[in-house]
Amino acid sequence: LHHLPNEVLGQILYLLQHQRTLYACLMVSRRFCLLTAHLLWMKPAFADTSRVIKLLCTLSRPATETRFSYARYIRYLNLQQHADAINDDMLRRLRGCDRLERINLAGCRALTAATVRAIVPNWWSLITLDLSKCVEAVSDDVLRAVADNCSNLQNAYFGGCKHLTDDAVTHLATSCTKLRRINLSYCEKITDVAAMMLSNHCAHITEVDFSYCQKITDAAMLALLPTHPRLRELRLRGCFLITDEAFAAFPFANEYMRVLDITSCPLITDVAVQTVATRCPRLRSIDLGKCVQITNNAVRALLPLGRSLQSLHLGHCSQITDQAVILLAHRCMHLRYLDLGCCVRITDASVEALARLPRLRRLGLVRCLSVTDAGIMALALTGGAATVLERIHLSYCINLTVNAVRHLMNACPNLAHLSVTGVPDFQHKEIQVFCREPPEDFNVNQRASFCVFSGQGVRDVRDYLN
Amino acid sequence: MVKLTSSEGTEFDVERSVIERSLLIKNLLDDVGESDTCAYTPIPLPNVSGPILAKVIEYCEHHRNDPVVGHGDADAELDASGARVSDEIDEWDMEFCKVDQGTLFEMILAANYLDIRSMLDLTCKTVANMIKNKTPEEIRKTFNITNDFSPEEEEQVQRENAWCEDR
Repeated sequence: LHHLPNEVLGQILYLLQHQRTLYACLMVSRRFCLLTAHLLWMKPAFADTSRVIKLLCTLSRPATETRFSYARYIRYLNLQQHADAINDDMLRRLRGCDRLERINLAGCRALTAATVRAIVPNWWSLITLDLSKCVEAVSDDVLRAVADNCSNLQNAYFGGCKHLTDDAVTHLATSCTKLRRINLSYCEKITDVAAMMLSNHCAHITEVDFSYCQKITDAAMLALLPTHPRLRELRLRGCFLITDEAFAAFPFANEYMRVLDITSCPLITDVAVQTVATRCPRLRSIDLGKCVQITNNAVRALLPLGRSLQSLHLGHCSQITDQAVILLAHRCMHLRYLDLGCCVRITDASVEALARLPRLRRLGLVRCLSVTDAGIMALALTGGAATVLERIHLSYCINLTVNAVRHLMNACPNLAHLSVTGVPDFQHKEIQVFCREPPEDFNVNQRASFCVFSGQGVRDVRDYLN
Repeated sequence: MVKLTSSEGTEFDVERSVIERSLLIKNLLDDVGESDTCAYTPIPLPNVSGPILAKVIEYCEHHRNDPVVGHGDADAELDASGARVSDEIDEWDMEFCKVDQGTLFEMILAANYLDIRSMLDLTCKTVANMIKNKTPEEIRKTFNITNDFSPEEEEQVQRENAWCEDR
């Protein structure tokens, strides 16, 4: 090994992906140390928050006193798992990280705009910036600083940063023209103006999330869709002004479109789904939950997607009947996730058809009151779905019995989540001991009927019932 | 055919299409052109011994039909999440690398010198696999490396990198 030049030894060390092994290499000898340090610090990962603090301690020492300029080695930093502990003082210690390319600070709610504003100019190499849910950390000023300093930015996640206005987004759009992914969900002040600026200036946009930007209208889509034929993901959840007209703007053959979320857009009708299905032949996922006007015709329109379709949400589309679901189960064989929650007309006939789907991982049947033990037994005995099913939601299917659900649990080796809240036959103390803790904001009645098993709880309740 | 001469002066005949997996030789041949006279002039490789050159030719023969990976494609080795490519090695390649350490390092040097990207990757991966999951002391022992840190230096490196220390 002594005879290998540094460039070759460096290449060998570069192949070592595990932090543990890299740390061992660091401690071998001076030469190994020199060649490993930047690899170890390139993408630090932390087993727990105390280690984040240790890393920040090293960074806060003057660079003249440390063996290496560690701050400059950091390229990717994901602090999302430790969000609750991150504060302004800690963030300031990252000011030397001038080669930082990706930083994820999602959920670091304690951060303030003044600190983020001050540090952003040091992070001029940023490609990905995730400040989702950092409500007080993202002001218009911060976004302007990002726009002025980070011209390579491609991925910008500001979901829940509700202080942002069109003005700052306009600034971002005109400066960061390489933007590919932008999330402005729950930024309530955002209007069509911001959407139009993004579509005018950022030609490479592939993923957009305007969920719950309730001022967004069809006009935004009429600007964005025709000019961005490479759009892959579009989320407009809760943009309640959006109508069928918006999707008339889709290019006629959109080979790239994969994910469309128009949950809770109540003006949407079957016409929009028909347009989307014919123009986006490779659509993988479509969320139509709470689009209350949707009928069987929309589901029929999706059938030509065939095996492309993997995920379909139809929750609260109460006009859907067995007829459409049976056709879906025959044509869209690669469905992995189907939600039919509150589709009250669904009966066992649908469940029997879905039982054959060979890839069905998740099935939502909450409040499908007509689903009975016969449907659940079909799911357990048919094979197909049972072998891969991971999550099933059966809450408020009031006619189900413990015995049928037990058969289902025995038939599904991968089941990791089962919800049977409000199913009378499950309301027994002996069974509920295996159930998960109800959410804190639940009242007494809600707590009493809450019955959800996950992970080990599923295996425990199954063993108990057997 | 192309003639190659190892450091000891041993001559090897090899098909041009086979040895062109070495970018060094390919560029050399391209520069010289197609003229027949040059094809019979042996190419001296003073940095590569006979046994190692034989291994190199064995490698190029076996992989003659593989697509050539150039240096420009280095970025393609990162997958979408930025993770490095898997270190899975196929059976023939694994057998090919079952040699003593000295030979393996000479093969690395030869692949590096001759600019045979895929062979360099393979041999480097083989060494990387020898390092994986070992402690510093085990690594030193495996490769006969002396710990040249002073106690103070060792303590400093340990302290500054305590965030990734094993507990």
